[in-house]
Amino acid sequence: MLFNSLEFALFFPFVTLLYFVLPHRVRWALLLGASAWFYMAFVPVYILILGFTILVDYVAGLLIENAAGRRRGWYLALSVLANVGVLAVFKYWNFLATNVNDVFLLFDPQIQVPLLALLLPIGLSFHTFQAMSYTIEVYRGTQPAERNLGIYALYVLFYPQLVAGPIERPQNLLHQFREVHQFDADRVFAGLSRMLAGLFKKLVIADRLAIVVNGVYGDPTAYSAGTLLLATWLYAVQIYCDFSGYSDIALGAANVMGFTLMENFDRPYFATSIGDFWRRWHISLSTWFKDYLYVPLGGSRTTRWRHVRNLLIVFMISGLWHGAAWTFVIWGALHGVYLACSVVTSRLRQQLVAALHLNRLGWGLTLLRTVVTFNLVSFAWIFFRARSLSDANLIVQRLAAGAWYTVVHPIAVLASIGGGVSLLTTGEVAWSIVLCTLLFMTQMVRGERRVVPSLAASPVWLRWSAYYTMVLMILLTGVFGRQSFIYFQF
Amino acid sequence: MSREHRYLSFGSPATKRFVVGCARFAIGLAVVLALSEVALARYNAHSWGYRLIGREVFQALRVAERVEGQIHTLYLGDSVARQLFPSNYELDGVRSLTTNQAISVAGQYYLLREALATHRGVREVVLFYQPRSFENNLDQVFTEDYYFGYFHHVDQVFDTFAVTRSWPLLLAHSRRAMLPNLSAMNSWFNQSGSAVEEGEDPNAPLTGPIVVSHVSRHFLSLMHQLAGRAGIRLRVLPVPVSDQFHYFDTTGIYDAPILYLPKAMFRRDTIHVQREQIDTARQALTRHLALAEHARDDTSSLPVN
Repeated sequence: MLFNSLEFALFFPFVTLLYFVLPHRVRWALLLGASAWFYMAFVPVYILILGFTILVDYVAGLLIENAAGRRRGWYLALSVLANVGVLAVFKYWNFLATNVNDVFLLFDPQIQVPLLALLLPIGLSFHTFQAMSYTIEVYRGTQPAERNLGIYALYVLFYPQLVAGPIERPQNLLHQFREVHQFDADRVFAGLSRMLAGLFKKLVIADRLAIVVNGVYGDPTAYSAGTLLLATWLYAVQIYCDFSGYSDIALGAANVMGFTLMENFDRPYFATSIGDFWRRWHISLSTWFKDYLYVPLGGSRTTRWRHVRNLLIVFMISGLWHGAAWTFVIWGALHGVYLACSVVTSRLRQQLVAALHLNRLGWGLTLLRTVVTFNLVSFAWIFFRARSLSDANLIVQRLAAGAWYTVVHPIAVLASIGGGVSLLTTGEVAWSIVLCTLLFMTQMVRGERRVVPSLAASPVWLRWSAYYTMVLMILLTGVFGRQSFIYFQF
Repeated sequence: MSREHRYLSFGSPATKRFVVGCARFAIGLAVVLALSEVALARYNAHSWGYRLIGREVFQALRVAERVEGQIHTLYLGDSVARQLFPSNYELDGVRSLTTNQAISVAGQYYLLREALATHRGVREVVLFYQPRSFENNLDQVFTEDYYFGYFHHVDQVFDTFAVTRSWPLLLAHSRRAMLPNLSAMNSWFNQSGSAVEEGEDPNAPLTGPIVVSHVSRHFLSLMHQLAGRAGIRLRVLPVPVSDQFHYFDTTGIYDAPILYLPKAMFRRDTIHVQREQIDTARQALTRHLALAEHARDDTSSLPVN
């Protein structure tokens, strides 16, 4: 069930009303049933996979807590193996098999690893990682094992964050299912306004930009370097609005019922470095990798080269987490390389800033850093968005050739943007640019997390005018094609 | 823990505050939407439907409402008919309300109903239709904009549901009935830029019987009943068809044989006539229909066994 669907518009108020009407002791059962229904609206049979991992992790949690010594580690390993195994079969098998078969072709074409005709369960990587964080935290002794199977199942299945996060930690979420959430009008209004803001981001901005981006990335050979660059920038905004819009709806929906989920975004395109970007983008995943992979590998408290190695490992795995394709691996590796370069060149860059007195630039230096970071991130998005590695290569080659051509013939390049854009219709592109500007200006004036609270604190006429404007813009310019959220595929 | 903390109490101050807040917001929203609707309706009327998908339907409906001179014949039809007999087609006593096949025969019926309410002196109605236009079962890409966009009175919503029995269509139709102008502008925002590549339909059979959809059958029957009650002659006539096709009128839906013209006279989509061939095609059709009418009159005078 998509958040931007009529089904959800009926499902959400019905479940919320029931949640507040029912006695506290059965509310978890209601949420569990509703969450299962929500998930089964996609592909019903895949609830069995979730059921399997829930059962394994529930038992593993109890065993880990009751065991001592090395046994605890064995139980944890079994749990992690079961979760990764499910991921391996459903998400990575065909990717691995295809690559292995390509290698076999060089030696003996007769040997072929069979491919599986399986549909990727929606949001598999999200709930698998959330389930793994539970057993790891129980192993670390920071979270007691959950005795109630139903409540543990709800921790994995909780519908607002089931299919695209935020990837919650048991310490933050599990205890909330036992707390009594009273009906609080202010909190409900705050949650609903956040959901409205999320819908606006998704329907008005992300899906609008998708029209332009899909047109260009669907056939990159037809477009000039200028248009490809424009589409890449627009994709950066599209994926942000798509994913953060989803997160806003998820956090808002949970908040209406009294649950507090972790924030997933904090104005990522205002980051002044790649490290800063990852502290602002998909925070629940980057902290997951930091806590469960990067730090155990040694993190930054090791030699410089091990630090670099750790960064590369973490980001390549992060790329694979997103999708079973080389484009995602390269996307992750690029971020790893960016961060590795920043580690290796940190002293040199500091000396350069000091020598050129760049610190005197003040906000100018911050702006420069922000622009450079945005463009580095956008460059990596090319690999994330491209349909194939060859498409990505083509786009990069065109951009590289275009960059050189820009130096020689800047006027011709500006004209080429116009030429490419005319293939898409100027109206769509102009409207997309207006929306992006509006978004960035709003975020510049008010931080990401302060937009909705500041609205809630403003006078009624201003608050309601903003809400009415959002509703009107959704009705007038929203794209109602029931486009899925980009991160659902992960 | 006290009992009242466990349940939502409908009499509690928090609930009352929430309900009152929601009601106020809903009323305000209704006012805002109503004002937007009125403003957009005025804009559409003023701009003659400039920013509407299927503005020819908007224009045809407005023309149908207008009383001008003595009209004895109405032309209805699809986009090929509109090429041959556009809204400014001038012939004494004839008014052309040709639109697009996307409104389906259901739309043609409602358009006729509107027109007959104004034009009391009409004695003949002609529906010019391409054979493939009868396939429209209100299940096409443009159904929402062309049909639901303009035919959304309560009776039209329910009549359409009674025929299609489709809940998704009913929901889409109801939405358009509630906020027709806002929905229309949303369509414009979303579709105005999408260039539709004109090309030949690879699934179009070169030869075969004319497929008449359930919706076409139902509303064509209603058109005949409407015309019959008003004592009006209703004729269903074919527009010219490319000679690469050959259709069999097994159900006798047409009142004249199909006129086939050379493929070269048609555009790449093989349906619409090339701009420079429109006059030739119209003359050929007029001659062809006159001959057919003459032949029909001759045969109708023959004794029946």
